[in-house]
Amino acid sequence: MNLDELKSAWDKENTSDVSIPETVRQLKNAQHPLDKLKRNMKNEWFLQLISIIALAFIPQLQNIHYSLWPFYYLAYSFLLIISAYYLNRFRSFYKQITHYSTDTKDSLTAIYHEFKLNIERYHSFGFLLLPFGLAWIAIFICSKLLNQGRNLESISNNTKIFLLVAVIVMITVVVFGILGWTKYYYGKYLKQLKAVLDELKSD
Amino acid sequence: MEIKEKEFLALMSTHKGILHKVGRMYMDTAEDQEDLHQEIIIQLWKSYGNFKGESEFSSWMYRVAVNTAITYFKKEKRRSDTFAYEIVKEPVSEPYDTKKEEQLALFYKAVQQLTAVEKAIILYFMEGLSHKEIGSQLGITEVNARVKLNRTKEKLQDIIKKSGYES
Repeated sequence: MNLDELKSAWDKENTSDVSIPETVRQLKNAQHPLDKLKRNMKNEWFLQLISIIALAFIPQLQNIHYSLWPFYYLAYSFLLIISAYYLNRFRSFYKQITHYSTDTKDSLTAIYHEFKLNIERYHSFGFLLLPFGLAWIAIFICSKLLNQGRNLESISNNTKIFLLVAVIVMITVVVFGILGWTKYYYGKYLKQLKAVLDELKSD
Repeated sequence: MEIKEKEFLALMSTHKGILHKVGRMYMDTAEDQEDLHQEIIIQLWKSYGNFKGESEFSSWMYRVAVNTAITYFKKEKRRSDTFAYEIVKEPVSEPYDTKKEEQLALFYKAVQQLTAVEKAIILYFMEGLSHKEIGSQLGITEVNARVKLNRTKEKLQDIIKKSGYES
């Protein structure tokens, strides 16, 4: 088949299958993977914000012993500072990321690296929340003991070992959970982008 | 309706051939092509504010359309042997000569077996772009564009031959 000869038929093709809307509003929501990821991120952002606000009321809700409130709010302050930084970065990321109208390689490279960077931010944000989680658990246990008129020394060795194992298991689950979450939601798209970029490389 | 929106939609009507071609190159069913047309229009509208007229509108539109199509990893690709050309909306009452029409149908069927980048290269080639212009659209060198185009054309001819077509 001579492709050059086919160009005349290509140029004359009927385009009646394309319907142009009368207004831009008639267009549905974008279904492009990039837009779906942006929507996911936006929803996650709101969820994270609500969770952080809700955490401020934990001492009241869990009836934490008054003497432990300063420790809880100290840990919570660190959480607030870290979250403010990360949530701000996430927000500017999903606002900024778009289909760049530069050439294909530049556009895809920018999207790929922005995504990779954001996934790393996501990981570090999750890992930085761990110390707060541990502090919360420690404060919760201490509070229970204090409310019963006991202290840490009154815990048996077996219970201490159980708590240690529980903490290790929790850390492992959280770390792998965060890695798995990002791989599940963003990994596939990143892999597909990488494959296209590799193909664009010089031979 | 704003003047800018009117102007944009008028441009879409003028250049709907680009939407049609990118749709047919990247999607193999009428439904998917329609989705892709809409997706491209959305992305073009979002980027329209950045169009400064430094290049031809059609070049810019092709670039955004191809970038959108390349990253539109919507569904698993169908196997080419299950491809049913009949379900793609056919142009009506256009006085094509039958042989060319048949060749074009076969061409689109064969193209479905190419990768996203190869499709872009063939698309630009069919539009009559030079190696330099193809390279500039894709962000690769002129030499790389030439090498890739030659390879892709060979690959396409192989696919067409294997499908039993005799020229």
